[in-house]
Amino acid sequence: MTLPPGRTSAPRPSGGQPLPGLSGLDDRTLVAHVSEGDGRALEVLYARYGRACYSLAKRILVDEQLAQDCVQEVFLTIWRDSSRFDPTKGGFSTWLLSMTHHKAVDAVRREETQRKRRAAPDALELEESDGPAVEDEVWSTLRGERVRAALQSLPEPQRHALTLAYFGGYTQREIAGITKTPLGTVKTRMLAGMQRMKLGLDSLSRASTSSEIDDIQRGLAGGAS
Amino acid sequence: MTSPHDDHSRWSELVSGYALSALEPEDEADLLQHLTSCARCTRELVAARDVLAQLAYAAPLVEPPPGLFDRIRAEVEASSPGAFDEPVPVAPPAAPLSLDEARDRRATRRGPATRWLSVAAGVALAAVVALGAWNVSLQRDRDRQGDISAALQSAVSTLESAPGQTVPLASAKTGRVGALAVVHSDRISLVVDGMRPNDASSTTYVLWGQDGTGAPYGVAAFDVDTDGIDVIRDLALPLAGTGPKVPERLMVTQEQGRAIPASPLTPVLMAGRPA
Repeated sequence: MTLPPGRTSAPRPSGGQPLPGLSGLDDRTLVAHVSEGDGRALEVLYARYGRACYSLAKRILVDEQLAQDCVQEVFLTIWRDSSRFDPTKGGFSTWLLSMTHHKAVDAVRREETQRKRRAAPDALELEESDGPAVEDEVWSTLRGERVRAALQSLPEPQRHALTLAYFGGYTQREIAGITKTPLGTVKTRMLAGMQRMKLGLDSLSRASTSSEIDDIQRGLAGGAS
Repeated sequence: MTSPHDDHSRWSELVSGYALSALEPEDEADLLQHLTSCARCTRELVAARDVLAQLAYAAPLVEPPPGLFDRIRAEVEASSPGAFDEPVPVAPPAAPLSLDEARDRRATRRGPATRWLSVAAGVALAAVVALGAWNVSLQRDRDRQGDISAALQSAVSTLESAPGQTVPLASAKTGRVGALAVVHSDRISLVVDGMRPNDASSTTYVLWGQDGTGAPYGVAAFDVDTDGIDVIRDLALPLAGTGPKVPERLMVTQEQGRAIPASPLTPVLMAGRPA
């Protein structure tokens, strides 16, 4: 599928059709609409990022209901307080997924039983999506593969520290206990792991605006066609 | 003695841990205090969050259950009726006020009662509202407008001027009519009710015009001194070809600074369409 230039692919909202007019707007403009009280702009943002948010929340929380609650809380926060998004501190997707992660980790820490089931590092190994990569998921699938490859390229101690923290919701002290390493070593591994991930993902990390993602998407679409 | 580099390695480690939501409470408190004065760590935190936003895509993609957005929509509509183009309720009208009870301010007291020329372009800011967004907002003006308060109607009726067209300007968020624009052939007066007074040293309200689906243009800047009824008289209409032209749509924003920017940089507060 060839994406129209200058537009971000907008997956269909769950159970609905793409909203004309708004779906071509960039994230910052949509947030401005949300701040004006336009619920349809919120729906477009959900269509654009709801799946990524839900996937992350479910990965951390495991429980579907908890993941739904988390996503609901995220989007209601956007609705009620869109002014919390500061475009000078990064793109909207970064802010949104950071908030999703934070809320999911808060929830998983409240749900201790969920975490205990996932204490073993190998329980946090990242499996690929089972479903076929449909046309409008090409970008997300390719990006996921690239990110997983970057994660796999990390030394095992660094990868475990990152995945236990990011997907398991463990604190540094808890990770030190799980891995039986000093707290200082865990901190060092996390920093080193993050730095290596950043190097490996440089082109994707800079794509914090829709226009940049569009460029990458067009490049991928051109290569895939 | 600890070198500055060692000190900052400690903070960099805490930044990574904070981005991962993995800090102990005491470390988090230390870091948050440090971030208030360390631009380097703030930049590192932004970069770390960018990395982790990518890491989110390492999780298997799972389609949200159908109906999840319906739940979100229900919550939104519970607190903000009309957010999805439904009619909105309006507040009961306030007690009528005569114009003598309200402050009557001439535009000349704050500056020339003439059109302020737009600031030259070159302001390299990403537009808060793209042109497409303005056009989408057009169709919402009439859908959202509520009743006009008796206070506003009373204030306008006592204006001593030649008959003009009264244009309600309604809140984009609630539909409440917050101002009436009295439009004449060559000027507009505004009667506002309940607008938040602006800091006249650093911000200004701007009245914008828009024709069709074209880009908005600045009509005039004004200040609001009181959160009750306020009147801003005789704002000159923009000139077009043979003379003053009444815009097809009027909008109000509140902008930083004291000049009209080349285009609106903040969300529309109120809007309305002359007949």
